[in-house]
Amino acid sequence: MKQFGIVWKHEFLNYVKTKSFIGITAGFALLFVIILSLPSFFDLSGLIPGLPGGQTETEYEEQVPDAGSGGAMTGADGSIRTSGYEGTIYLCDAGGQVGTEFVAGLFPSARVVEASSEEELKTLVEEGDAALMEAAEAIGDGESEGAGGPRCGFFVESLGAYRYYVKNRSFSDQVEGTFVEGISYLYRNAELEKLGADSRAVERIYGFSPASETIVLGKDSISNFLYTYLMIFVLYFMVLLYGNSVAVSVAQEKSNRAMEVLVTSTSSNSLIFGKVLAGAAAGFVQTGVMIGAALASYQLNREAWGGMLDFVFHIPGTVLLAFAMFGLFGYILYAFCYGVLGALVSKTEDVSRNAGPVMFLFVAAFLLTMFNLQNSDGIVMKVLSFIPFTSPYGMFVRVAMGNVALWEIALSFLLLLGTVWLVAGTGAKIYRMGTLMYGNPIKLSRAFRMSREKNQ
Amino acid sequence: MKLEVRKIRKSFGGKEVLHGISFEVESGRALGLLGRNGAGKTTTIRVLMDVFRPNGGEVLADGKPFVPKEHKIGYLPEERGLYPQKKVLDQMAYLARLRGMGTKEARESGKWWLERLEIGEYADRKLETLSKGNQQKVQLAQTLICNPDIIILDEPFSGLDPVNSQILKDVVREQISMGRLVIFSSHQMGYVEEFCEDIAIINHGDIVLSGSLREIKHEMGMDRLTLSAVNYEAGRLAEKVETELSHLVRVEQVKKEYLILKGQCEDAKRKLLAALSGTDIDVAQTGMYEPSLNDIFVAKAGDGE
Repeated sequence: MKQFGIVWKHEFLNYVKTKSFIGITAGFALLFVIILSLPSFFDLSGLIPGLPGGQTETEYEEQVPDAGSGGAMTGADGSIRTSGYEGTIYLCDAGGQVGTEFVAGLFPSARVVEASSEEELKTLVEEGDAALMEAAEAIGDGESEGAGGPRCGFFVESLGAYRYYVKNRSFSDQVEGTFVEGISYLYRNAELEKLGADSRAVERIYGFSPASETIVLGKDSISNFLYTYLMIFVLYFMVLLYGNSVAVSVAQEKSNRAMEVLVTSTSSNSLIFGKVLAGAAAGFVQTGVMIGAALASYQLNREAWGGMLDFVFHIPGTVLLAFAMFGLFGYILYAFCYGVLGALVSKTEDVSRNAGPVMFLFVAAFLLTMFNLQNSDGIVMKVLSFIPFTSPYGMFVRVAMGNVALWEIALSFLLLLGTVWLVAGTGAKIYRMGTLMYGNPIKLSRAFRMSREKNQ
Repeated sequence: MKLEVRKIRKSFGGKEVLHGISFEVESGRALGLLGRNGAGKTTTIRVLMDVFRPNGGEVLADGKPFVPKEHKIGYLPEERGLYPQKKVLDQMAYLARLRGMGTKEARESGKWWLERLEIGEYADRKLETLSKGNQQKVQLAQTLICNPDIIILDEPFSGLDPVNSQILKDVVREQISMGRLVIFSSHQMGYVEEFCEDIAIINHGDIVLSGSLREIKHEMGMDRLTLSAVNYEAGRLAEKVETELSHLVRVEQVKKEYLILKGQCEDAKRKLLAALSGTDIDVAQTGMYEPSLNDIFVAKAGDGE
């Protein structure tokens, strides 16, 4: 036990004293702190919808004026929202049914400029107008988009037909969507008026939504989804990074022959258990520091966020406990597999090739869980939650998002513990034998056969 | 302490590689464990140190089962290996702690041994920055850091220049004189002859010869004489002896400078000296033949055996 402690401490310090460990841990922790502190120092309401202080999405009835009249509309019932687009919109309204003021109402942060023809509109979208050019020259930018922001334009033939011109279309372009909603609204009003109906009354009827409140008495999969998703990724990367580190560390000791002295100085059990558990501890310390920094930073800046990230950071204790239990032992299970694979090769460059089967199993478990994440009570997830190589993901998902009985958790955990015990025992035997066999990588099947022989 | 290895057998994957190895060694003496490459020396050492469990036989210390954990053992493996990217003293202290020393004691002992081997200035340097010879000395220092009762040295002189070899020789002699039990495995027979009073030769997993080196030499030299002449070179001298003195001796080996003769009758030495005076052979040197360890090794572990 004392020797295990010495190996564990040596290996743990090997991990945490490396520049890459310190750099990655401190770097990510700092990044989380900075990102989560930003709303306390800067007004990000324009970038992040829903942040306090932002007015990017307002009720249509408060903002959008009547077409052509410029007065405030009162008829719509919140079905259309304005856009926070901050560029220039050129409008050529051939049918005279829309008007620049209506468009300006839809895009309160944008500059709306009228164009006399479609040709002019096209040129303006491409090159910008005089005001934009002046602004660009004032800041010494030859490309006018730098001064005036993005540009686009609408050529409206009628309420039923338009063409959208855009200089550079961004991936998240929502201008057209807002515009469509706007002219559809105008079209509906015009048609309803032709029929003699009170368009505002109709809008109110169609825009009706009952006053409601959702009270979740069990688990809310919608709000649990994100942190479950993130925690699965954390476990995935932990196993991937630290599992491989364990394998490389074992292979290195074989390759530089330090193993020759080590196996005669201490038991092989102390060596492999020390290595695997030191890797686990290092992984948990790293993850803990990063997540801890994020949680602390969010708590300090929660007011500035208006509590909008509560659904990510307010993780229930049971979920954290499930993550700690299944995550830790799942990691240990895979780390033992990696440790054994490291003992079967003589060169570190052979590790990745030999680690293929474990990697395949691990990635398959991850993908199966991800594909079934939205069906946490389905039969696939139930099966995954009991197989020890997949239960670190499967049972965690069921605890976080699904319905699971306590006996199921207990059974799954016992199965996982039993498998860890079995793999650790066999792994220690293979490790003991494999560490002193040099040359070509030893096949896993041969290693199993040899591990069953007496007098290893 | 008397360490006895008795009829050790070891198999890997159904193939037996040690077929009943036996030898013994005592504190204050060194045993030369010899054998060709792949003969089974390293496997024997690993069985001795409980890295491999034997399929048969036993290891005894003073008549009781030998438990390596209960003894301080210093092992210098043939396959040298430490951590290239770690500081010399740090890794020595780590390995010493695994062998039961406290942190402070391990570092102090490590420093002492580094100074003793004249590499004290490298204590805080990474191992990979040292020359091969100095790395070898670090390896020896880590072997001796815990003041072991049993020292197992596998090819300790490989890679050392004559000056460093002399330092190592002094250390090994010192350890033997301090009553340590030393098992010395090497292909450099000169060193084995210098240190070892006993030898055990392993060939294809069997002990083919073991015991006191002096007695073995005496036994293998029995009834054998050496003869060299001033007026005949060795080849012609052999012809002359075969022609004129074959009733007394037989030419067993023709060396570069002399012949090794085996007596063919009672009191062959005295009779040969008398007979030589009746020939034209101008004797340069004659005497009892004592084989070198190299000769013994070749005779016992060579292909002809």
